[in-house]
Amino acid sequence: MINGSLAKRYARALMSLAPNAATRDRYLATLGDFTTACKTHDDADPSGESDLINVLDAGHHTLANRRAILHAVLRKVGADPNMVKFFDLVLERGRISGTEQIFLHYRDLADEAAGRIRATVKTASALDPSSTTRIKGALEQATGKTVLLETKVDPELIGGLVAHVGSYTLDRSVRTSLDKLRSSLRS
Amino acid sequence: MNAMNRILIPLSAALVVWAAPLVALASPPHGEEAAHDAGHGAEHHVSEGIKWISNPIGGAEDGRTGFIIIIANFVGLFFILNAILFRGLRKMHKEKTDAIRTELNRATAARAEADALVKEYEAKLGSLETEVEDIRAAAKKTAAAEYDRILAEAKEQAEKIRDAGVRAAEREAARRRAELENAIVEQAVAKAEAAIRSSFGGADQRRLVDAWVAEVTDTQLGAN
Repeated sequence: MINGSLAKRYARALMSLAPNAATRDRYLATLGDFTTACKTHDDADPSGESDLINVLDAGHHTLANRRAILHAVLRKVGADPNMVKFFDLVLERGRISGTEQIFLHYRDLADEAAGRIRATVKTASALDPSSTTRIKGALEQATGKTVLLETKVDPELIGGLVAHVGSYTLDRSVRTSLDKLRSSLRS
Repeated sequence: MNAMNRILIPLSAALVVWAAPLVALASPPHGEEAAHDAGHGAEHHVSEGIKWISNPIGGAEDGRTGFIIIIANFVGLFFILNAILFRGLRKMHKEKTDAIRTELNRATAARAEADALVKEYEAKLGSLETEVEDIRAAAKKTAAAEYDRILAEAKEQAEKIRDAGVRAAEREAARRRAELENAIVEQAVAKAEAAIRSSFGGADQRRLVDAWVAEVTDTQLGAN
């Protein structure tokens, strides 16, 4: 883990390496794949010592060995040479444990640059495609940006939906209505 | 030393007073000597009357001592007695007199004091009944005041306890009321949830989504 401002500086540096939107998205995909790879965990090793991120961050392994492992993983995720150089730098500076934070900041920067916004919609049951399309359209109209919609199912909501867009929460769930009813009855 | 003087001085005085006449009685009287002398011869003449002066060294023809010499002797004896005896006696007498007078004064004062005490106690005894009544009245008054004070304090304390009890009961009642209300609310909400879950269907979900979409479409969200 590294602090937020440091992760943001690395993210900005990576943004400056990308000459166009397509390259930025490719870097974003590479960062996302690498972060996902780092999150893999072997249940046979409860200590997590052999997890990828811990091996790469472990000081008792030589830098050459860790770099070799890093390069092998990057080849698997199809990283281009700039990304390899970027990860080499991060590894040498001992910031490899902050890869996920760098990814999140980079994703925000890349989305902002591309005029995108990410939204999460939770419903009690799975949404049909037409509802998803209408929800996405409504959010795009409200934000004026392309919405990358992620849907989740939460039976506790009973009915309705809750959307998180940036720092906004748009809630029309039965659960929230019942909570409001409870509060009004108590007061 | 003083004790010795007390013994010696009276003893000396007694010796002088009694021994001098004894010496005088022991020596032959002059008249007898003259008669004795007359009986032995007529050549001796008998002298008569007071012999005023005689040879102080002695050697008088009739053996008598002159009256002036006797007086001088007496005066000398008086001064000697005064010097060695009477002065001490007077001093001792004065000391005893002073001591007696002091004791007398002290006894008089003690008696006066005793008389005063007697009078005081008589007065006290005389006023004892009144004093007892006064004390009894004061004690009754004090007891009544104390009774009133204790009663007032007890009433105040009881009032405080009652208020505290009322407040505690009110708090407890409020707490129970809130618990009961919460329980009622929870039950009501649980029943409402169960009713909604049992009746909620796809049409309801679509209606909610439509309402949400209509609401969001009319909203402008910041670029965040």
